[in-house]
Amino acid sequence: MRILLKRFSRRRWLVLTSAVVLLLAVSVSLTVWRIGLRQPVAAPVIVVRQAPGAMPAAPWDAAWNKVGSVSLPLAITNTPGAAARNVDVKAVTDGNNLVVRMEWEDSSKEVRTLRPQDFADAGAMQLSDQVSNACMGQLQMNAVHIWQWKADWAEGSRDMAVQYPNMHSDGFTGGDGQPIAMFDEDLYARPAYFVGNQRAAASKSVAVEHLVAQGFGTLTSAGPYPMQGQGEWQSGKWALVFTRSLHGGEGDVSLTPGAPLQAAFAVWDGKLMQRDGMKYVTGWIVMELEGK
Amino acid sequence: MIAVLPEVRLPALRLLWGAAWAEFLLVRLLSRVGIYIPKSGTALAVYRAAVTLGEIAFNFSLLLGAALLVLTLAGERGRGRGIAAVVAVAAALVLLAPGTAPPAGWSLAAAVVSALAVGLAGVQALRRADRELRPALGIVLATHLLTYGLTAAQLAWAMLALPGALPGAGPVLRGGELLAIAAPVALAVPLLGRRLGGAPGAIGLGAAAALGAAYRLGADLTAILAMYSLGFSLSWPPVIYLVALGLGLPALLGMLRRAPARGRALGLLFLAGYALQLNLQHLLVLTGWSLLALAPAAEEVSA
Repeated sequence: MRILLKRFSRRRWLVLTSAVVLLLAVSVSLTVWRIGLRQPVAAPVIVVRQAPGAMPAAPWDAAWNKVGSVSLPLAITNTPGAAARNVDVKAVTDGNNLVVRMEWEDSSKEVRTLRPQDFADAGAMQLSDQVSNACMGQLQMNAVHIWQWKADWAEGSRDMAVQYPNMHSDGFTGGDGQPIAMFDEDLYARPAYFVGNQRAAASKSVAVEHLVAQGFGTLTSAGPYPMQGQGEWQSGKWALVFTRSLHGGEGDVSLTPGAPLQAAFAVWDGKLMQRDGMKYVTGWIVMELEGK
Repeated sequence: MIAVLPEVRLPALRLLWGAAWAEFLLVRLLSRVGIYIPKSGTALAVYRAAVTLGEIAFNFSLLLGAALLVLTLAGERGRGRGIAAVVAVAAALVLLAPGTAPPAGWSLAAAVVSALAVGLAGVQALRRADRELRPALGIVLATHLLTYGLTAAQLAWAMLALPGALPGAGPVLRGGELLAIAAPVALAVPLLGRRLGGAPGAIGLGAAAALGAAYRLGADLTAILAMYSLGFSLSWPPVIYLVALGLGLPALLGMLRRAPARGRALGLLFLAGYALQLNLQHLLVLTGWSLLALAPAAEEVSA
């Protein structure tokens, strides 16, 4: 045995080097073939169960009280006065639709952005069917899908007459304060509206924008999307629900039970002038969809 | 075979230390500043090559970390065999989880056994540690136990379908982050006025200044990097993070110079971060504690 050990000792560097080269070769091969070893484990999970009765659609529906949630810390990304806070997330399904609810503290609600100095509250969730751990997706991977609900996209939030009750109608706006139809097709008067920019539309069909990204700087509006979002502020808290079908289209994130699914969440506080990348964010968390 | 373990273990630890740093710098940090990289030409090619290297470093760290853990656990012949067995089960649960996103039940088992493994190995490491290191190790141990405990409680809460959020989860998360920040300070405090000067001190000062500048110039990206690299929410006053980095980094650098293996083992615990989510982070934690706790590995790293 000693002789064996001595021989091994003489050759230890050769053995060690060979082992390291082998591990390195395996690592390179796995990377080249895009076989990911990265895996979230022993971390919180959002378990999406069957709804206990009818699917709760409203943010403060009493049925939500029976559903468990996960508290996620929100990273403070900027702005003086930003306070530490968490977002509580819960979700249910009925086998056809998914409803995700976010709840976070916010001492006031900011829902209008008609004045240049105004910024609105918002909430968003990001879904990925690959374990990238990159915050806004990554090149060479499937795009992450982002659903962003904006308080200033909700019904009535862009009503000029409410924001400026004593305003004078100068002929370019209708009785409700909105620009009149004569500008609808005028490229030079309303270029953003003319090219279909959802932000420029006077009224939105839904208060949620669907976006996709494959890394910082690649965030792109993905156009109309079959989903709903509703936010409601009560007693210093926002509650927000996203509702969409489990059966998405081509290129959409897979929402089938058992499929790998990760989510991350973000909220914006309008009174802190938060917008775009200036927001509170969470890290990724696994979502586990249970079957029927 | 056992006799060759020390000769293999230390070079393997050196390699793991380098690979883990490469992964941290290239994947957790560099890959997330892609927005500032010119989207064409040499810069983009270099960026992509660096990120690919980072991905290789991730896979290599995971494989090498598993190998090093086996080498460490296999060498255990004393009373620590029980600890080694629990660490081995925890590592198996972390590394052999099914699917790309394992079910909640598996994660719960992994969190509970990891908490047990870290607790046992941590107490043993504290016994072996010298007086200067003990406070920092104790705080790191408390942080890990709190993290695993909270994770296990949240997973159990979700699996039992209990309504609402786990009571107190928010304050505990914040408190845990403060503990995680306190550990590097505790590492530095015994060295204040003696061994924090020179090049390590200058590097610590430079790192703190760089973090301060990042806070000032790009707070949004700084917080995203902090959250997605180490799991810090930056919800405590910035000065706390600056002090922790400015004191902790030179203390760790000094330790790497005096006791390289022990410094690397402790460094692995710091590199794992606060919010433990990925298999590599858990593996770094288990490997770091095993190296600090188990004989004869602990004797090697203390040498």
